[in-house]
Amino acid sequence: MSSYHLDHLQYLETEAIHIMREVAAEFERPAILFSGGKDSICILRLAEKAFRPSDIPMPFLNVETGHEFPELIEFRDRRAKQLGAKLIVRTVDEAFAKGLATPTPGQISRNQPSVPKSGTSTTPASTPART
Amino acid sequence: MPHTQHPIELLRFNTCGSVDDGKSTLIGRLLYDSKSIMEDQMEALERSADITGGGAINLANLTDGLRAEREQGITIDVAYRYFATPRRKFIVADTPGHVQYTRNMVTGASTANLSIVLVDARLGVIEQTRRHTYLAALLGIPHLVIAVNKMDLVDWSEDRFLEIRDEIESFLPKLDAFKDVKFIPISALNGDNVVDASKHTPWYCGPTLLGHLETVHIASDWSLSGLRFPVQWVNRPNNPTDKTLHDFRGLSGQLAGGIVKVGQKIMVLPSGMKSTVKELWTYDGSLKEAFCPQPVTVVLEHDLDVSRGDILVGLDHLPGMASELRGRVCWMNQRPLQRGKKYFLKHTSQTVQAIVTSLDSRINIQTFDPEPEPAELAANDIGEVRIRTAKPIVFDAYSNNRLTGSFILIEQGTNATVAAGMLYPPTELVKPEYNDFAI
Repeated sequence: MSSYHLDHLQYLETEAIHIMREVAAEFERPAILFSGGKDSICILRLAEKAFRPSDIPMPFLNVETGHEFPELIEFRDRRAKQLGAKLIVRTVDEAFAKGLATPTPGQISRNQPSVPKSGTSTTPASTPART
Repeated sequence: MPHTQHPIELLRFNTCGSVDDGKSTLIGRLLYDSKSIMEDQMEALERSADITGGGAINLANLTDGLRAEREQGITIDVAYRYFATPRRKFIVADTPGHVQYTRNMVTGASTANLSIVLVDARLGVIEQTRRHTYLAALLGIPHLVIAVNKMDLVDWSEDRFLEIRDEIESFLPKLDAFKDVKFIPISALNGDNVVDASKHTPWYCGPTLLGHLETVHIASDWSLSGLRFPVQWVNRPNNPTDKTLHDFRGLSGQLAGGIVKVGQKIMVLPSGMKSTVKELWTYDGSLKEAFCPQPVTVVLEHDLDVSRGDILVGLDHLPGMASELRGRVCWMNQRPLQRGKKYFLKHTSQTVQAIVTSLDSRINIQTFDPEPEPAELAANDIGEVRIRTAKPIVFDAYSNNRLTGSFILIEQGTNATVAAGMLYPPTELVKPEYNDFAI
């Protein structure tokens, strides 16, 4: 049995690291969505694996729903600070106020607002409208 | 389950089939029988069985999420489904529909270890079967399974199974591909030979489909012979507060082939400058050696001018380097490929200007023969082309290395990916003495 062998998690990690480095190299203004939840904690660790010993070369971004536990906010801020990253915080309310998003009819969750497609003016007329 | 001696491996595969040959049912069966279905999904499924299925669960409903998404006008090209057994984890690339079939399969299968081509036992080998088998061969998928489905509808006839096998075996040598090919008689609907061996096929002594997926040897699917390290990102912390970090200059990337060791001599291409590997830095500690497809940050002895798009290679098993390339492309855009048009070509970590100088042939999917000098290449066509790039490309034959032998063409202006390409072997390799100056 050769030692040149990755298990399934190591293998998936190689792909994630590859993608993060491609994003850092190819995009103008990338950001990492970081809410402080379990999924984004995992993403941050992958980012560390991709970019250390340098700083993670993109800011963190969180869009607050307004329903967060204070402990979560505290953890989010602390973690961003620990990693030396710039944290950008916006809110769903702000997005509603600016008309960037609208509450989805019948949806109680503010985690799933309706977001109009970006660049509506350049979208071909044939694109079916989402109903 | 006792502890397995080997680590759990990951196998990626895709299923190819035309409409109604049982693709969704087969995937549903694998998910269901391997108990990979979430409880709530399971309950919904059983509820729908009571209402619509007369008590029998409709396995195809398990993959119906895709259909729902499409009805909402959301385009899903490839959906990935996950299941696991104690021996392996599986990722299935599920490609819906056959309208954009070639494009979707190229997307879904480009990282696959294995392809399952479904054949309806009643219909036998049809054009789609040949097309799917050809595409799997073209994409360099190492392992092939021909699943002869709906065997229950041909009375489990061994003769029918052998007839189909013989017909496929008659054209397989023409494809010059696949490390192994397995023919399995199944009924996805009833589960015969999918997870459990069928009592209807005493004449079949081979493994079940899942048994084969669990055991097929995939550890050698990566190329470990020639060191290839395309530089993705130059890692320079420039940290003024930490002396050791201030001078750190690493090259971050993922090994696209071979093994790299600390102390090993390497060459940077296309410049030809040589150096020695000083350190293989990773977040989890430095390594003595790393292998494909591991990501690492390479620190060299000399401070060479290396940037994204450059590639580090070992001094043996050298690659080709040329700005005149030949290969096959799958055309994926509604606007056909035309000679003389400028595109961007992305190969490993670099993107360069390119012109398709010649369209040599279009592959006839029925006969697999190239038809010379077609006027154009339409969506889903496969053809042989010659390309000139603005800068030389360091590459291998796709048949030797799927990472350094592949490229995509990007349309200028729209940034649409219009083709996936597979390179032919280089006519000339880089020479070891190439541009040999010491620093």
